[in-house]
Order: sequence, then C-alpha cells, then structure tokens
Amino acid sequence: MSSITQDIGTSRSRPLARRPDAPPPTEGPPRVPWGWALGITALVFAALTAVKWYQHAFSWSVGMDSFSDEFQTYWMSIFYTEIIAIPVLGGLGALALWLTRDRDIMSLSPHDELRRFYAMFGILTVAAIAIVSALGLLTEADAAWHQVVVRDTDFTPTHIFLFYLGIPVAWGALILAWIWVHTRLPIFTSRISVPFSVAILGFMMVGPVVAFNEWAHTFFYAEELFAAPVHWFFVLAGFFLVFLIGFVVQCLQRMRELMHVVSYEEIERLAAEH
Amino acid sequence: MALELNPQADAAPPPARPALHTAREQWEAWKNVDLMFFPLIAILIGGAAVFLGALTIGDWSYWQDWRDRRWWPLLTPLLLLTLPAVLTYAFWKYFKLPVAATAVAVGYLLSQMISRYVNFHLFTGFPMNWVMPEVWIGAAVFLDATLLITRSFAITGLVGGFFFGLLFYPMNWPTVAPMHMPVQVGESVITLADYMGFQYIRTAMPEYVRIIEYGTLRTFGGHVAPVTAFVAGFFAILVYYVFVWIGSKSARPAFMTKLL
Repeated sequence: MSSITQDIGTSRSRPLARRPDAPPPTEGPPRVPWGWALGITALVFAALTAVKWYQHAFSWSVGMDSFSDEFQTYWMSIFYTEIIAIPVLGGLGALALWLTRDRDIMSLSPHDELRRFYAMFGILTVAAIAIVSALGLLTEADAAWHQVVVRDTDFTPTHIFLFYLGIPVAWGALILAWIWVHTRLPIFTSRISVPFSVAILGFMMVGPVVAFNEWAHTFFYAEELFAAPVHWFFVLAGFFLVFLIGFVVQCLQRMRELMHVVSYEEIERLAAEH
Repeated sequence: MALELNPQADAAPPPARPALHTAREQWEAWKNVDLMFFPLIAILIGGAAVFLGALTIGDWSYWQDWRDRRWWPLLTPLLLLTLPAVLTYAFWKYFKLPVAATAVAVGYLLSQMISRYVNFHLFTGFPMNWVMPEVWIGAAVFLDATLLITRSFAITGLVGGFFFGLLFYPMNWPTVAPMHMPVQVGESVITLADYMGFQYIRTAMPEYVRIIEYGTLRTFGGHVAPVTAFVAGFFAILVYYVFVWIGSKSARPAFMTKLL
C-alpha cells in the first residue's frame, strides 16, 4: 500500500462510496501521460543545452567588452529578443488558457478530473528536473563568471541567460500553471489556492531584487562575494517556493476523494448498521 | 481589504461517483502518486536549496581556500538545514515519511556536481578538486533516522539537529585535509589551498574580502575545528525548530475565497 494512503487521512476530506446502483465502469482508470512528460522535458533539456553551448562558445570570445560591436551583435540582440518575445508569448499563452477554459467545470467527471491531476503532476514531475537544472546551471554560471571577469555592464553574458531568460520563463510557466489550475480543476474554480499564489508571488519578487541588485552593483564593478548581503534578498524570493508543499497537500486531499473506493460489502454493512 | 482563509469554504462537492472502481486500480493510482509527488517536491526543494546555498554560503562552497575552521563549518550546516527542516514537517505530518532531509541532500549534491563540472570546470576552467561541493548526505540521514526512531520533532531537533551541525566538519574532512598540507613556495610555507588560490586568481581572493579564520598563533592549534562543530550543533537545534515551524505554515492547505 502506498505510504500516502496510510496518512493523508489526517486531512479533512469527505469519503466517497461507490453506490450499488452506480452504472458499471465503461472506461479504464486514468493514466499518467509519461510520454508527454518525457517529451516536454526533452525539449527543455535541448533548449538548455543550446543555451549553455552558446554561452560557452561566445562568452569569452565576444562577451567581455560591452562597448564592442561584437557584443551588441552576439549578446544584446539576444537580450532584446528575450524581453520582447517572452512577455508576448506568455501573454498569448495566458489569453489562450483563459479563452479555452472549461465553462462547465463543476460537471467534470471524476475520471477526467483525476486525469487532469495526473497530467499536471506527471508533466511537472519530469519537467521539474529540467527547470531546476536550468536555474541551477544558469545561476552558478553567473557565480563562476563574476569570479573571473570584471563586469563593465549589467547585461553580462550570464545575466542575459539568467535574469532575462531563465527567470522570466520560470515566471511565465508559473503564471500559466496558476491560470490552468484555477480554470481546469473544480476545487480551485470558486476559490484561490493561497500556498500556490504565495509561492508564485514570492518568486515574482526576484524581479525587484534583480533591479535592486544591479543598482547596488553600480557601486562596485568587481563582484567579490557571491554571499554578499546585496544577494540575500534573492534567498527570500526562492524560499517562497516551499509554499508549493501546501498546494500539493490541497491536490492530494482532492485526489484522495476521487480515488476512494468502497466495496459493496462495506456499503451493505454500513447500511445495515444504520 | 478582507482576506478570508478557510480550508473548507466553497469546496467543490464530493464526486458523485468514483474515478476508480476496484481496489487494484486504487493501489495503482496511489503508486502513481508516489512516483509523481515525492520526486517533484524533492527536486524542487533540492533546487531551491542550491539557489539558497549559492547566495548565502556560496563562496565557502565553491573555493577550497575559503574552507576555514571557523566560518565554513558553522554557516554551511546552518543554512543547509533550513529547507530540509521545512520539508520534513510536510513529509512527516501528512505522509509519515522520514526521508525529507536525505532527499534534499541527494538532490542538492547531484545538482551541485553537475553545476560545478559544467560551470566551474568547463566554463571557467577551475580544477574539479578545487570546486568540489560539500557533502552532507550522512548528516541528513542521521536527522531522518532520528525522526524515524523517536517520531518526535522536539527530540529530532535536539538530537538530530545537534548532530547535523556537529557531523558536518568531520564528514567533509577527507576532501579538506589534503588542501591543508603545507607546501614551500619560495621562502614561504603556505597551505596547498592558498597555493592553488594564487594559481587561480579570482575576485574573491583578496584577504580583506575572504571571510575566513584569521591567522594567529592559534592557527597552529587543533582546537578551533571541534569547538566550531559543537557551536554549529547547538545553533542547528534552534534552526531546526524555527524552520519546522515555518514548514507547518507553508504546508497549510488554505484557500482564499474573498480578496476585496
């Protein structure tokens, strides 16, 4: 028996009994879309590999002097593309999710509701490996870069992929996920998940922190300490991701309701007792 | 602005019929849940730990010549304990799984090994033994094992938290010890760590920047490291309690029904 089934019962959820007069099942149990999950993750890893290749190939050759023409061509053009394309694509994605929302969500069958939970968490689980790899690799590339190169601009080759690609894409993914969850899952349609919202809002605080950080770095061009106090605010923003645990608990409580199976014998016994 | 938090307010009605029909299907469904949720949470929180660690204790973690006996064994375990403590609450409270700290530690080490190789070795050209991440899986296992045996956050903080801080330095000694070997450079005797530091110039090199133990006569004594380890142990108890409490708040499945 799963470990969860033993103890998630501490949550306040209502049991579900299969009625003896319920129609016989016509469809099999929902499946986790592992193929989709692996495919999406492969795409993310391919993009990450391309980004890291570009960074390794052109940081040292054309990325050290922001006054050079080559820097404008090889790096600033990417920066301008990122700050235009990511908000536009994110906005279109949000609009599409809203326009295609389920308008009769409360009549969603339990089978389809469970399938949606499977799809969301199956893809998230595998994609999390790519997300964490991307943020970790891009963050510490910045740490390594500033230890060996004195900055002459805020738009360094590592910043262009961390602050203006990795973090905005993570923002976009989280916001799209929030919209999807609150328009496709019945338990979130008439109310808002506080832990999920806090996690996203906290992570969004990376934006002001980036601005503050770059402002502070205008006072000194050598980034001597990575553990400097000016960087500590990033920690707060990242720490808010722990609130995703509360969101997971909310989902598990609902999934427990959806997956509750009671035998005919038990129903008859309960009926006899009452 | 009124903010209403109510776990049960306006809840979706219980499903009229089950999504699953047999105990076998239910067993497979919960197995799927196990396959999805625990890796997801461990990976995300492990990744957050890398982010947190880089920005607070990164310099001690990156460079061998930062790994002194006073600050590195004190700050590093205290910062690394925070997210495992947060995650421990949810894993134990809801799932009775005493594996949170170990999961985060393993995720952290894997992420760090990849990052150090790709970023510090391939990208910026440092030798791997110079930028090897610290190891704390053993301390995390001790913390989880204490919870498994005692089934108590209070005793786990007192015993497991203490040993988490205490064990950090001895567990990492095998990688640090060779760097403390003396080498003669010209007419000076310096440690291998400092010698390598001079070979790989960094912006974090100057003595006025490095936050490490000052060189005094006590430098030659052997008492600083165990004293620091015990201090780290005692502080870790407090850190564990505080962050388990934060974990209890972050894992609360609250809903908001009215914003304005």
